This record gives sequence, structure tokens and C-alpha cells, in this order.
Amino acid sequence: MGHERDTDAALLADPAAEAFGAFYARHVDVIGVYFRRRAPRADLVYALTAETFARALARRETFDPAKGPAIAWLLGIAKNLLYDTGRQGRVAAQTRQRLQMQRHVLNDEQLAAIDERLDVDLDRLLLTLPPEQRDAIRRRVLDDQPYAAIANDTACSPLVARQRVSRGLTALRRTAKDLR
Amino acid sequence: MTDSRDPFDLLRADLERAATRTQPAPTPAPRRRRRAWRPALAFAAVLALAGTIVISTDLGADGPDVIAEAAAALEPGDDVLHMVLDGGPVTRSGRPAPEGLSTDGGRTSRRFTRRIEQWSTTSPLRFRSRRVVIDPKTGSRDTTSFGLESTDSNTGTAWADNSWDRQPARTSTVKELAPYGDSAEVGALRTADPAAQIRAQLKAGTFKDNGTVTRKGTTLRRLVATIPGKAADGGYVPERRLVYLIDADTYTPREFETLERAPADADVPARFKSFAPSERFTITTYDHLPLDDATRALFAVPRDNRP
Repeated sequence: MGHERDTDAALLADPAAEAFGAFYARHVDVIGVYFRRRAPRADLVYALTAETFARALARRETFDPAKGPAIAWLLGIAKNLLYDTGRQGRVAAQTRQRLQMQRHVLNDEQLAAIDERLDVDLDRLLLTLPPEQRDAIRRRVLDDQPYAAIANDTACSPLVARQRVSRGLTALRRTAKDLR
Repeated sequence: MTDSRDPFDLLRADLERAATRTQPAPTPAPRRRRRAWRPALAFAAVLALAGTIVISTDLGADGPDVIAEAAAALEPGDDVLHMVLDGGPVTRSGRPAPEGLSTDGGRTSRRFTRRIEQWSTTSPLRFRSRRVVIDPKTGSRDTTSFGLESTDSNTGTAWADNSWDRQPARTSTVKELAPYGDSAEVGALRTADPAAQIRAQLKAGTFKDNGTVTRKGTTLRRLVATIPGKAADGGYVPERRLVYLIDADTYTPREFETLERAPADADVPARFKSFAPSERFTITTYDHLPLDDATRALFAVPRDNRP
């Protein structure tokens, strides 16, 4: 309530519970779609998404906006979690346990709802963006390239590269919401 | 536990409950008192680590050109400049940043050992860097190797060979790389060559002599550079302060640290507007090797990784 105009940095710096809730609501679709492309089942996607946001909550004070937009920070957490999951053969749950979060057993309808909500063609979504934003997101988010390298390759300043990623992700989020 | 609500709404409610539990207790009065002596404690800790700090900027009119000497010491020549740097990114509180290896998801409880070993020469223009991150708990290693070859020091055409031992090998291309000394401007290289930004700022004349400090009985000269930042819609470029310590007698590089803060007019919480460390390195090896067949082999970029 009332957090729509807050920046991600402000939401993460705000100790109020609903501020983190607003941050979650803003980014859950992108994180969910990210996992949906990599995990075979809806229950795994849900567990991965839950653990990602639990880790983000546990370490929100480490977010530094100077190093990039919050969605890139979140995706970094998501990537590390995927790596842990592949190595351990299961989705880690220690952060959720430490935060005393509940463990939900989802029924078939809920699992279907997850599939339906996250059934987004990311490549098609990316096509809705201007080419420079699409390219910047592919490089930064999918390929982990630093902003300076993106700037160097695309003949712009690192600041402009950062803006392209930030604005492109914001546009993607809106588009994904419209498609639901 | 079964709850038939939308699963993502359930998760939001869970997170908000967890956020409530993790809120700091509102005890402003004692906290304010504690803050009053915290800087003094931190300063005492720095003193204990650093030994005696003596700030003295007076070198006299006939003193050596410290900046020029420092720049020369970092400049590779016909031989091979070989350096090993321990350290890397740190959090705002100065602890090693939780990146490089995935962690258990909590705060960084393990002290990763980060090491960058690099070799460079200007004849021909070559640079190679190898970064190793070691998890002391598991012993696992995360190695990144960058090899750069420039065919022309003026146009700076270059390739970056970036291979990870735990991921499929991948190659990225750096086009139109600026001449070697300016490689600090290329992001992919900044992490591979931490000395590059020091070298670039020494050449640009940004560093100022800031006196001396003593580390374990050795006098080191402290050079400080401040690079302005810029606020912008959706973010900012941080103002950076580079602190570079060199041996006062030999100009051998010993330590450097980068601190960052948001520009005064950036739309971010106030805590980001004071300088906090972002990376910290100790140079544990600094030597010059002969350029021979053995060292020349260090600079060979695999042909498969060329564009």
C-alpha cells in the first residue's frame, strides 16, 4: 500500500514488512519466469522462487544500487540458488527455515495456477522491447556481462547501458502483467 | 500445511511475516550512545592493524616525483611484470563480498580466498590474468582466466578468453579495446586487472600524495584519487576514491582499496552517500620476469577463442 512510486533501493532499505512485500510483488514474475525456463515442475519453481526471495530478505541490506538494478541482484541470487540446487540435488531451504517461513504443500489447482501465471514466452516478450534494451538485457541478465563491457560493445556510456537494462526490465514487468 | 489461496499470495504473506520478525528492535537511545563511540573503536582497530599512522605530505621541493615513480613501477616494459593480488570485492561493511562462489544463502560466513595473478608486457603488448576463488570450507576452486592479445597498441584490437572450470567454456569478445594502460575503462578487464585503474589514474594525474602510513614497521606512501560520480534517472555512477599504498623507498605496490558513495543528489537512502569500501587488494608478489619462451607462452590465447 502506497509503495508503487518507491524505488527498489528504497523498498529494500525500508524495514516495514509491506515494503518487502511490495518489492516481492514487483519482481516475482520475472524470477518465476526465470525458474520456469529452467526447472521441470511447478513445485520446484515455487520452492526456488520462495528461497530466492527469502535470501533476498535475509541479505537486503547488502543490496547496493551502485552495482546495478535490484532485478539483476535478485537474478544473481537466483543463479546461485540454481547452482546450489544442481550440486546438491535438491532445493535449499535453510534460509526459509532460518526465517521460520511456512512450508506449503500445494494442491493440483495451485500448481496449475503457477504454470498458468508463468507460462510466458520470454523471447517473445523481449521482442516487444526496443533493440538496444533487448540487447542490453540479454547481455547483462542472461550473459552476466558487466555494464562497462556492454557499453564498450554497443558504443554507449556505462550509465546508458545501465538505464537500458533498468528501463527494459521495467517494461518487461509491465508487459508480463498485462498478459496475465 | 494446505492453504488453497493463490500460492504467490501465500508466499508474499510468508515473506512479510518473516520481514516483521527480522525487523530491528526500536531502541533508539542506547543505539545512539553506541554509535557515538563506534567510530573511535573502528579507528582504534585500524590503528592496531596498521601500526602507527603518520600523515605527512611535505616532501620538500627537491623530493622525487612520487606519482611518476609510482606510475613507472606499475608499467610493464620489455620484460614481464608479474603480480599476485589477494583480495577482491567487499561489502559496505568491509567483509568479503558473497560472490565468486555460491554460498549457503545467508550472510557470508566463509572467508573466501581470492587471488588474482597477472602477467603483462609491452613487447609485444600482452596481458594475462588468472583469478582463483577458493572456498576454505570445501576446498572448491572457481577459476577464471582472462587472456588478452592486442595486435595494435593504437587501435587496441583485443580478445578476451574467459573460461570457467565449472561452466561450459565461453568466449567473449572485447572490441576496440583502448590501449593497454586504459584497460580500466573496460569492465570485463577491471576485475581481471585491478591494477589497471590505478595505472590509468596515475597517468591521468588524478592521484595526490597523501603522506605516509606505517605497516609492520615499513613506511608506505599513501596516494589518493577521487573520481566524481553522477546521478541519473534510475541509478547513478558512484563517486570513487582510490587509496593506493606503495613502498616509500622502492615504489613497489603494496595495497589498494576502492571506496564508493552515491552522489549527493542521487535518489537513494542517505546511508549510500558516505564512502564505503567496495574492493580491497594486497599485492603479495611484485617482480619482473625475463621475456623468454616460458613466459611468452603465458600470453598465448587459444586460437579457438579468437573471433
